[in-house]
Amino acid sequence: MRHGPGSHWGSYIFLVASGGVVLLPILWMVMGSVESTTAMFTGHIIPPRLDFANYPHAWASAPFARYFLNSFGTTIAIVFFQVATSALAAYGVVFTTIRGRNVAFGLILLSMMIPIQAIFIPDYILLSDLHWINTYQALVIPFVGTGFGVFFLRQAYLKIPREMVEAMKMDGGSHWAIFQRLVLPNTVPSMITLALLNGAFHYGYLFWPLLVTESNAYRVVPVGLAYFLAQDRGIHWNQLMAANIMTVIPPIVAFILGQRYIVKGVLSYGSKG
Amino acid sequence: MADRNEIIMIGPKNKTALRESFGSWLFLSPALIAVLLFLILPAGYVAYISLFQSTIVNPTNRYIGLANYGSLLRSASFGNAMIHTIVFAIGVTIVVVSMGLALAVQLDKNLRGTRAFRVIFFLPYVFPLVSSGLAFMWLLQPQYGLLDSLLTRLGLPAVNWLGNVHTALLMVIAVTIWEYLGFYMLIFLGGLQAVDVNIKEAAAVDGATNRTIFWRVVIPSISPSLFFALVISVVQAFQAFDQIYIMTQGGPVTATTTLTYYIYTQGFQFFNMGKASAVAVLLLILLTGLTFLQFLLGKKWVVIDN
Repeated sequence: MRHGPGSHWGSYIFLVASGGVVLLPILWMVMGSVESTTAMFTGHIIPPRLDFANYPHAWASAPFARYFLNSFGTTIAIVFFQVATSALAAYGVVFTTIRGRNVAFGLILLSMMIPIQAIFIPDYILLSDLHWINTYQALVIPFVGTGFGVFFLRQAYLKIPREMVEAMKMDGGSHWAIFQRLVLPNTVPSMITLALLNGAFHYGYLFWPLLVTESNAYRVVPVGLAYFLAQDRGIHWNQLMAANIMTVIPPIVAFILGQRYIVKGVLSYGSKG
Repeated sequence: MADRNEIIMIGPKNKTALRESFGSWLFLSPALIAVLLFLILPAGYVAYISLFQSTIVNPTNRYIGLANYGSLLRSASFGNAMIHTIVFAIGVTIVVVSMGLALAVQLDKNLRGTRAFRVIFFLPYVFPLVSSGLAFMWLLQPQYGLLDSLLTRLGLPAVNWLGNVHTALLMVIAVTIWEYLGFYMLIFLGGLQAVDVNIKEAAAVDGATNRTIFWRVVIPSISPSLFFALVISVVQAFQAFDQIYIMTQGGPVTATTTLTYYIYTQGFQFFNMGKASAVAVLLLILLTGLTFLQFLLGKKWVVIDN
């Protein structure tokens, strides 16, 4: 049942005011990105004239093409590995009967409580012993397994009717066949949700790439932006905002395309507690 | 011969079982090995390093027992980082939980335009924290940023929001709230949508006011998602790094140095891996403690009727 605005002015005033506050930094960023450098430092609020040259200037002032390529490549690789390892492990937890699978699941759940911010020193030492610092492996390999992914897909697998699995087993279907032909095709939305949520996170992640990259060849966009800012301390805010907008466009597009998957995924945290 | 028969009969069965169990471990092992190698074993190793005095080249140079912990507890900079983290966690959590719930309640009314509002509020969540930080830096830019432009128009003095020890932490808190508010709003919306309409209607029939229904029916029903949000928000606050690095680098002075940022500076600016590891261990204990608390209390706190 939908209601018109008539009886709900209070709700609308609250929503519009809050929405305005949320949109304000975005609007200010867009306005900054089309201001000329001289106009920027005159203290006005609406730009007197639109100047789109900041975009090509920003793009040329740092190797952004390389940063974006690195960001897309590593994000896609991380997400691919995470969905694959999580789907396999969730299957192992839900549908196999081996001894020790609960211990394995317990360990995987335990790992959800350990943030990389607390254990990055040993991880860094391990990668540096492998001579992996400043490589793509260093950006991808530490993240191929995710406790959250296993947990999340397990929820979806628990909803698959047991009888269907048993029927396939009766017909002589192997675990691999059941996984491939029954479980995977029936849980595509959950895999997309997981890929989008974790993909958005890893695309934007600064902390780890900052530690393990030392040259532009391997830097990703967030690190590139941080360097751009450091080199140009508060002069070309217009170019910084242009670069910033180019940075946020890919996740916004992904969000708009995959909105129903993301929203459904996060809503489900709430309904399950 | 009887023995032999038995063996022959059991043999193939064992072999199938073995093959089945080997196959099953193939499913579990990629994720398990990855989390063991990069999360669980390092958690043990970080505790080990924390017992050593480090040099730049050798993190485990000399065994010193718990001396790193002792020096932390005596150090003012660690105490400061702890206080900043707690202020940060409380500030962010109070706002995202209360505002997130308030917005979710409005969106749960199914008014026209609900979907558009949902998209607007959730949009910041897909921004990289670095981008959100940069957008706020420009908004807060001394003199020419939006906030100071408005202030000077009103004849008030401009403020260097990120360069002032009294306002910098507040601004980092603000950007974090902006980033995560929509996420919590959606969690609560999920909780609200799962509330049984019949109970609400029954209460209304019994003459309960909207306010009573909200506090006596709705809040207890969504207590699991409230508690989940509370814990996640505090855990997230303890891990905050990206927005602090881009906006203030822990400064001015150490005004925005939180625990995670403190570990980073100790480890990667002062190369004191031992001391950094000791902070990391304390962080781990705090976070696992919180998660266990959620697990234990979560069961009791969840009120739902009889």
